Amino acid sequence: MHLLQTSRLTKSVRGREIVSGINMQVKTGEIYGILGPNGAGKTTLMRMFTTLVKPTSGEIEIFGQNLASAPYDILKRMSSIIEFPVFYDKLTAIDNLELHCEYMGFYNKKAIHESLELVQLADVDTKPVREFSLGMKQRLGIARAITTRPELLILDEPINGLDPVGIREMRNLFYRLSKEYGMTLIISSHILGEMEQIADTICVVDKGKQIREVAMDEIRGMDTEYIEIQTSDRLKAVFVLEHHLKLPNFKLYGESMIRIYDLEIPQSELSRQLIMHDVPIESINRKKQSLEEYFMQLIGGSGLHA
Amino acid sequence: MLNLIRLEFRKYRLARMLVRSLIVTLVLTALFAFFYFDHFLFENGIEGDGTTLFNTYTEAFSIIGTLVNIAYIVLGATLISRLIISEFRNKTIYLMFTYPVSRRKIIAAKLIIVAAWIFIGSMVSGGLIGGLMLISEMYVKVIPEPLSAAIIIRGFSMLIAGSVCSAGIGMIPLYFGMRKHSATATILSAVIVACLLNQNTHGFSLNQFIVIPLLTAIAGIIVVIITIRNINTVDIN
Repeated sequence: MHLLQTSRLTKSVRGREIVSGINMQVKTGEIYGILGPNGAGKTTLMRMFTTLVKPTSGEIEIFGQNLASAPYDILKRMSSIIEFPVFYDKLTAIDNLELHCEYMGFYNKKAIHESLELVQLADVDTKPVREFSLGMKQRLGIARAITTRPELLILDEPINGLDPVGIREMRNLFYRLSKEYGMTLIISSHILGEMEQIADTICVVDKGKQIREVAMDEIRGMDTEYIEIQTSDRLKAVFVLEHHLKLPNFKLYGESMIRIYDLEIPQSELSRQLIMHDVPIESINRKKQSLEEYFMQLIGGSGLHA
Repeated sequence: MLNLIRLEFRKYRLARMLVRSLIVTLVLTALFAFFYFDHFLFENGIEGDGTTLFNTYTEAFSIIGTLVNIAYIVLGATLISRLIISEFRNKTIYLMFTYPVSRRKIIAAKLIIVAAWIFIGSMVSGGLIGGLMLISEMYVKVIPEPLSAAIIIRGFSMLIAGSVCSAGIGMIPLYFGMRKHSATATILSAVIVACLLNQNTHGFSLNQFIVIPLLTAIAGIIVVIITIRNINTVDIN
């Protein structure tokens, strides 16, 4: 059962498609990351999930209901921060959260203090939000979003403007919200490193198009470690690999590069065999393909991005 | 709807509007007193140039109406700019429109506050100034016309008609303000509309024909209808 699902979701503005044909499937309880460079359409996607922007075509289904036909039932059960958290900044943090609860139709006064504590903003009683630092506003925004105990939390670039310590705190918080409170989180970011650490599923978007939706377990489990050989006689090397070493799992790169993905054979044995068969070796290295490389490949491979 | 109005009051601490209304009323009273006593002061050789601004109660009431209408249409625009335009400018509308509440109801609640404030404010301020004038008439007779119950009733109904029209006219700035979400445009358009309608040249004001303010008020209502109709489909970017 998917908590949020889109089918052929498209938004065009003045004839130009800024989001085109997105099919996303967010599972209940997971942290779902939307990854893409600036201007990829991440924010527009999230605005569509929160009814701020109406899709040109396609459907959004949340909690099994169509967003266009039952918006208020759905909005009651979710919270969001789009772009950056906004407040009535002459009011105090508590006032802002109380107003939020009133509009959401949520009446549990204790929840406000609990969520302020959760983001470590418990002692901000009398200060108007105007006087808060950016980091404090980010945390207050999250406190507000989680006060009503939403089932779905939509966060657009939530770590923007945070220092490294703040980023780590946020990451831990998101993890807790997902695992302890059972919330489903949709987070967007253009920073791969962040997504990699926190998301269960990543949807890569670029220029409004969905490049790939991939479960992190899947790519973490992929054979991304390999031995790279550089040789001037590639044919001979391939022959040795196939016939003498029985290693079929390799790929050729460029004129002289071979990547071997079978790592059962020790590197020393490999080089010994190659030298024994007179294969000239310029270099031999054990390497690891990073996720970053993988995603760059995805985005690069789409032909949309340099 | 009442709950939404209550929340707006909380959000913007609108109870403070009362203080503003009080200041406005005081200023208007002083201004009217200046016109009112002008002739009186001249006759007693203190000040002034001897030209009376009004000889009849109808004229006096119409001046009160003009002052009150201009003041509250402009003040209504400042309220529109605070309650609606600023939500768009400060992007708090992102928040408002992700609540499980209809956009139309949210905007309608805000406009009800504005219209009610213009109407009630004009009534109270106008009634107060008119009342003070009548009391003063008992001691210093400035207006030569003899006072009768019919005159008071007429003055009072002028005040009601003027306040109702002002509440409608006060919605016109919404149109100019929403175009670029500009507070300046909101307030400036209110000043222009209010002054055009109430310009008083040789005792001839556009307001004297009730038709023109009435039509303007209807234009204001059309602005409200269009705004509320469109708000549901517009993208908030």
